[in-house]
Amino acid sequence: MAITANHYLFLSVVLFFLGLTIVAARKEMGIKLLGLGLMFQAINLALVSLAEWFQVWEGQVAVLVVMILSMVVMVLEIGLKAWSTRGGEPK
Amino acid sequence: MNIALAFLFLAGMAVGGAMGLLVLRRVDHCVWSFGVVYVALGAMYLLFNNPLAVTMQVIGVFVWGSMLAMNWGSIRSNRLSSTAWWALPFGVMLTTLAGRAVLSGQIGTPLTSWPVWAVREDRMVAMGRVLFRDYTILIVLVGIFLLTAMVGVAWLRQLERRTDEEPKHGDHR
Repeated sequence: MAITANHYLFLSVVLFFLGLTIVAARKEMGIKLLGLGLMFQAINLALVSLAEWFQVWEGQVAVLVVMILSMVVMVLEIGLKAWSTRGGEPK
Repeated sequence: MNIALAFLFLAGMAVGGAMGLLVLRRVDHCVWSFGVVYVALGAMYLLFNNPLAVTMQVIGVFVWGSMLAMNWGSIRSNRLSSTAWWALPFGVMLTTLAGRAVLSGQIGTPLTSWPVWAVREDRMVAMGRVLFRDYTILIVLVGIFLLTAMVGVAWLRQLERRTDEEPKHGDHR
């Protein structure tokens, strides 16, 4: 079986909607942020697959921007985790 | 290597990690699960020799490492500073890799010489050229990164100070 861009796009759609479900369903702020991060990664996967398919490198640069944004989410998440382990409010 | 099998395996890992975020109860377990997603996607990018594969995998390891350090540090000394020290090597590694990715467009760093992370150099160079062709993108990226780092550090220090000032549990008078 040959793996085409369609397979990658399908996977990115699945991951995106899983992320959306996590943001909608989970109550904890930390996990909501992780769900948001998952949605970012799904977008990245779609961008990378399409860049590979069309051999266009601008898509990769867009991925870098999204990656930096997801780093922001990650810093927030790790900060929340640090706070909660030390007796803060968020769980 | 059978690409289809590798794809199925990594896709399973990524979806499994994502499902973990839905079903696991503890936040730290969820973050480990999130790390699995990053590493799986990074390895998947490696399947088609993508320059971002290395960054993705390093971020995944960074998430794991930070969580490990966070838990270990809070158990051992209950100080955020010890966590920061343990997370530092991961940050340095990430910055070095990102720097090499960008600079390879200018000076053609031979990334293919790396034994484990062999990514085709021409792709790194192509990506670096796009970055350098439009300096605005580069400036915005560096700006966001620096701003995030500064705000993050300031915020964490403030949290640490506030937590230090609060009375401990069971210390009500």
